[in-house]
Amino acid sequence: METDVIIETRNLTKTYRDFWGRQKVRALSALDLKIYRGEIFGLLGPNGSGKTTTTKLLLGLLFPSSGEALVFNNPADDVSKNERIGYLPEESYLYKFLNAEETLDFYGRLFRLPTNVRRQRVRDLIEMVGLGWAKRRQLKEYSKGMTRRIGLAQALINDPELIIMDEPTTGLDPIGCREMKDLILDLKRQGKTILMCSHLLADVQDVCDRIGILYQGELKEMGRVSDLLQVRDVTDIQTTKLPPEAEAEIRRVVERFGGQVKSYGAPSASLEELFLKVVEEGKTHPGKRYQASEQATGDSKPFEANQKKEG
Amino acid sequence: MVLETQFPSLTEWFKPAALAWIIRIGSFCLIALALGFLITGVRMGPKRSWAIVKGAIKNAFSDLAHLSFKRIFAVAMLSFKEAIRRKILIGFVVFIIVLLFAGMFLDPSSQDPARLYINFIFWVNNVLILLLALFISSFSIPNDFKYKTIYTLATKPVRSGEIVLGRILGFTLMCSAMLIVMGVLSYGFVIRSVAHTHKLTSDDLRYVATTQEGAQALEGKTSTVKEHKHSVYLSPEILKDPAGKTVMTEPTNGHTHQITIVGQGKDRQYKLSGVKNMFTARVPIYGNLRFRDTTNFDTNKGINVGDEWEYRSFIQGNSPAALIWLFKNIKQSSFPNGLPVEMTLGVFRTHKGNIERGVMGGLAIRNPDTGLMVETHLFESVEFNTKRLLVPLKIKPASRPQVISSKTKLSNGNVVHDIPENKLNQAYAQKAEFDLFKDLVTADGRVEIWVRCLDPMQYFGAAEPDLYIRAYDAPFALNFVKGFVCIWLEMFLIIVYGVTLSSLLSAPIAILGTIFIMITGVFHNYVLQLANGLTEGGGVLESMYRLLRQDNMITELPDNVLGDVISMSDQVINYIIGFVGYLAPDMNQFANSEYVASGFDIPWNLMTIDALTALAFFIPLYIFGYLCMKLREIAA
Ligand SMILES: Nc1ncnc2c1ncn2[C@@H]1O[C@H](COP(=O)(O)OP(=O)(O)O)[C@@H](O)[C@H]1O
Ligand SMILES: [Mg+2]
Repeated sequence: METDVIIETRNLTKTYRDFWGRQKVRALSALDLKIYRGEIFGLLGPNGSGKTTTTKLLLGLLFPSSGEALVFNNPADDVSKNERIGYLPEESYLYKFLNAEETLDFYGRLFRLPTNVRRQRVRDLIEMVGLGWAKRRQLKEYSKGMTRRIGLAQALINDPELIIMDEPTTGLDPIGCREMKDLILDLKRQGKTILMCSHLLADVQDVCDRIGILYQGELKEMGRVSDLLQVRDVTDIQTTKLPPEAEAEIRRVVERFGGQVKSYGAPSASLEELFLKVVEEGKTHPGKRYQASEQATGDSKPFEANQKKEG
Repeated sequence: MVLETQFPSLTEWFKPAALAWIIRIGSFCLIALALGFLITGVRMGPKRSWAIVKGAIKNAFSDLAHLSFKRIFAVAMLSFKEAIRRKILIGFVVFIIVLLFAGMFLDPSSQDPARLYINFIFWVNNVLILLLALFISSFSIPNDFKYKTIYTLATKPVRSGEIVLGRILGFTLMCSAMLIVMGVLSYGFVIRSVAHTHKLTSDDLRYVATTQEGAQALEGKTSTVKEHKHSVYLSPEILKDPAGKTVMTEPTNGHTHQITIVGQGKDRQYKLSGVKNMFTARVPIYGNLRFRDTTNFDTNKGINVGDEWEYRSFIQGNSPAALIWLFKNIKQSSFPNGLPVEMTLGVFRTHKGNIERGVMGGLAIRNPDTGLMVETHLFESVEFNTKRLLVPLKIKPASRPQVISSKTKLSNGNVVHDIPENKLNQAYAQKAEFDLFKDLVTADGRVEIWVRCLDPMQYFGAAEPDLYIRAYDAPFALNFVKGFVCIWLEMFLIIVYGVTLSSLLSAPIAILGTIFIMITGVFHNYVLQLANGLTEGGGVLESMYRLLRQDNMITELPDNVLGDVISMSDQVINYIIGFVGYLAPDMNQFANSEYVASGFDIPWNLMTIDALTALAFFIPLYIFGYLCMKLREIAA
């Protein structure tokens, strides 16, 4: 259905020029993109590939050099679309002399939210981003991660239908990242449409339904994450821990079917998973987890020490 | 400074002003659109930029319809908080205290302390608030761009117009609060600085004889405080039963004190009040001045006594020459006690005469319909001393009344009379006592006041505002507030210019631009003269050429191509100057502290014109700021 297209760009091109009109950078060339209601679309690309430029064009912060950008079927320079959009910029561009509450209150007023709704939402959002303890402190005292959180709260003050996030996880610690990703999935569950830009592959892989890969301003690849990432000539099996003598037999079985075992052994957990686990445990068991004495005596690496304890 | 007395009435002022205003709105819109078109055009080609400009025009109306006070107010409060949290104000508060401290060194024993203190206070407040307004208004929007907070702001449903208006409103509120505080402090400062009283004891007074047979009066001087003392005169009538009576001291340094007499005989004591009559807000009625020359003809100008730039025009003594003021709309109901006339004449002596004594003058009232003229007062005049006379309701003439007409010689040599000679009825003069309003003021309230110099070889000089009828006194505090309202209007205009210019330019450039416009506004008349080629020495390039060649001002330009190029370029430059002059308000009309300082009420008429002028500049500038902001590519 046509109304389900939330964002559409046609041949969208942006060339940055200097004051005298001389061409500097072609940041985006002929982007054709459609984002549908309820999906999480990830725009992936290395630094300087034109992701931020795309979001700015969609928000009307930049005028396209050619082509057009439509949001909710309206041109991007139409201010009224902002009623239904939340924007989390690369960095939080907020007034440093306001505190968290005042910040959210200010942006809430710009949406003309009724007073009681606004108050309630300010409270809920501060709670949600976990800044209740610092809500009366001016933003200039905030750390990068805290600023990021208040920036996120700010983007959600109007309960938007479409959320545009530029590098949502930069500046966040792994827990923050995890929470951010959980939040994004949660927003999806509420039926929101999300466009997120990132150069962190893991972020995109974890949450996005569809992705587009930008490189030097050009869209190189687009599709469903599951389709794009499915490796067709490999089969992956995971089992509970087996005794060593199982290996030879399994290899034999695989060879009988004409296959070839590429790797065999315990999978290594990602550092992210480990970190989350450590912190989670820290919450339930306060105190030192890692024993300094073990480090002093053994030449084993710290992580092996941890593994041992788990075992 | 000379107080302006002739303002256009509101209705006279309105039509040309409204026209100028519409042109101004048009010009500001066009400039904004042209700038927007040029800047975007350079970046992305004329076609694209034309589309953007067209879109902006199309959107302007829907934006206007969607203006939300709630959002404007949110931005305003943000601006307010910003100014406070950034602690800009602390600096200013310190500055005020320092300046008020400097004010301690003003000399309270000066001839006219009221003027001294009020001028000082208004100057300080004006400078401070205008600087504050200039700086806070010019930094806000550029900072939004610099720190990219505009990205967050512009992706909310707030219109460019609301940002500009909210900023203006916020800074205006903040500066107003500041101005109110400063105003209250200043008022207190002025009143307190001049406050004093004197002592008067029986020993200070001695008996003197009076013209009345056998009656004695008391005369003396008060104690000296702030380097001055007042003469005191207790008349025989008062002395008959002095207890509980009040009298005023003679004025010194522009004020008097009230003396209350308490007790009888040896216990009699004199209690002096604080300063009285120092701060006034006289509401004058001005007349039209003409001169009568020694040959009995009316002229527009009197004699020049030497100074080419003399503001006053003079009449010769002991001759038919007179200074004549025609007043209109003088109604008996407004003057139940007669006409209080105040005048400050220039006195020019060709010989010293009796230097102890002033030059003698006569004041007469003439009915412009019947020609009846009755002299009411003979007075001594000292240069620039303000003389107060009350023309009573029942007049006993000081000299023989006359019935005369006033005549003018036209340029073609014909003579016209205001009353034909044959219509003059000498019977009007045959009375011993005249009624001011029945005999001397016409039914529609016209009356003439004639001033003559009676001493031979001496001269009186006057300009129109030098003689006026003091209609009544307005409360001084109100006048003080009115003076501050004028400062407020200036401040408001600066905020408007600062915010709108900074919606397009960087902060330092916006500040320079605002200063430039304000200076243009101060030299408004000169700029318009320059634009119309009325200045001496020709246009900009022409005078530059002469300067370089060290020619004098009246040397002709060379009669060749160079001369033509210079005069043609000057024409273009004049157009541009004229245009810039048009975009700046005449700032002099807001500088009204002189009224307060010299004890005159600021006319409401002037206040209204000032307020309308500020509003008239605000609207086109606001549209300008809105368009600039709208056409600006935010993230570029
Ligand atoms: N305001 C600007 N002026 C000139 N060039 C810019 C501007 N903003 C971005 N660019 C250039 O445009 C390209 C794309 O930038 P950007 O969209 O920010 O990339 P990304 O967000 O993918 O890291 C880069 O080469 C960058 O240098
Ligand atoms: Mg980026």
